[in-house]
Amino acid sequence: MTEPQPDQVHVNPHLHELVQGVSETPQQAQVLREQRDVNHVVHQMLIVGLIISTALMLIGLALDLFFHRVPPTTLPDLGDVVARVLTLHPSGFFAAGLIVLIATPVLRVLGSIVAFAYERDWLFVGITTLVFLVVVISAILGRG
Amino acid sequence: MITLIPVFLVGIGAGVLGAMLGIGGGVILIPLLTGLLGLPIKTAIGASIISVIATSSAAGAVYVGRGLTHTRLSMVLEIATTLGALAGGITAVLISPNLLAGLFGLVLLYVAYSMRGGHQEAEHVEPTGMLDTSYIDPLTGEQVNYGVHRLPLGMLASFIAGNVSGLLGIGGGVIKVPIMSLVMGMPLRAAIATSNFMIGITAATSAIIYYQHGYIDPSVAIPTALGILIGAQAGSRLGSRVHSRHLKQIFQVLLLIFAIQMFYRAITGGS
Repeated sequence: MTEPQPDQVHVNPHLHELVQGVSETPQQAQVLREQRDVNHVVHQMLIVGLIISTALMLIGLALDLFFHRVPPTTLPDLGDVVARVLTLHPSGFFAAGLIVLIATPVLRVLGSIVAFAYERDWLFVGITTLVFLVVVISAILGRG
Repeated sequence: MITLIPVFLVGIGAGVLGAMLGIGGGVILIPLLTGLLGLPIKTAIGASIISVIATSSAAGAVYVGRGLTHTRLSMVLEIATTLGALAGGITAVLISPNLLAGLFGLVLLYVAYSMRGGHQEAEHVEPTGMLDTSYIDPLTGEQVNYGVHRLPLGMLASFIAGNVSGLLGIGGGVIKVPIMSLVMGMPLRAAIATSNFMIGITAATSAIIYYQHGYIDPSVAIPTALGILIGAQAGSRLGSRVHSRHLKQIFQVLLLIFAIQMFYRAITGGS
């Protein structure tokens, strides 16, 4: 496996690490154990969110190709998404996949609040709650 | 069907190039979607922000698994990046596509300029008593202990990075990583991992705004996101085999061409 080059800003690590995890020496294991608290929660949430959203998008594409539909260029209203998924409408799966993808980092933030509270790290409960509040404000102010 | 495949291929191309060069896919993706496929810039920005969330979640999970991400620092800086993204996202839906194209051209020039000498590492990495942490260097296997310097400057850079991200649909790592490494004194590996981790929630903040304003076109955003995830995998494998200096020079020329295209669009107003 190649390591990130020092001059790379965004390095895209290999997806198999998502599933297999990183091989650990005893020393690495000790440091990792100290970080397992919040990081472990965050790690799991990102992977699960990514898998679910990718699966929903692929189902949408498959349905779209199967029914020979022209791919939708707009997204249904939030209230219609579930109904469209239940009626196997590709646009419902596209919207659901996008919503899960966008929600993944937001749920990661909520998960960290819970993990910090579990550690009784109240300063970081406060800091992370502030981040969540900004996202909520964005959802309210961003209404079209 | 006819439209999905070219968009998917552009996503793969942007993913491969972005991973090989170590820059976010958005910087390449948006000029290709507008220039090559003739899509409106706001549609390209909406598709790019979705791809940015996908790549940040994938890479972010891997880095957290490797223990390279400074999770606590990222939470602090995310207050600034999300506020920036909120302001940027609201601005993006209000201003004219011409202005967005012009601003994107400027960012492309900055990225081309910032690639001139690669990134410099912080000289001394040491615990500072502020947000001290440690990780295991993957090459040497040694434990690296470090803390953070000049947090307020880091917050300012994060706000700007978030703002540019929300406005133009790119990740913003090009702005954060040099500051986190050179100004805040973080080891480069940790700076890359931490910056990347913050990008997901930053992009989600403005994606919520784009979504509600109908700028996310699923027929573009979904093939792009899937393509970029696949392309990035291939790119990170190819990256080490290609002589990176030549690749960088070719890419700098490409960025200049993209910038000219964006400035042309800004003047002529090709939506």
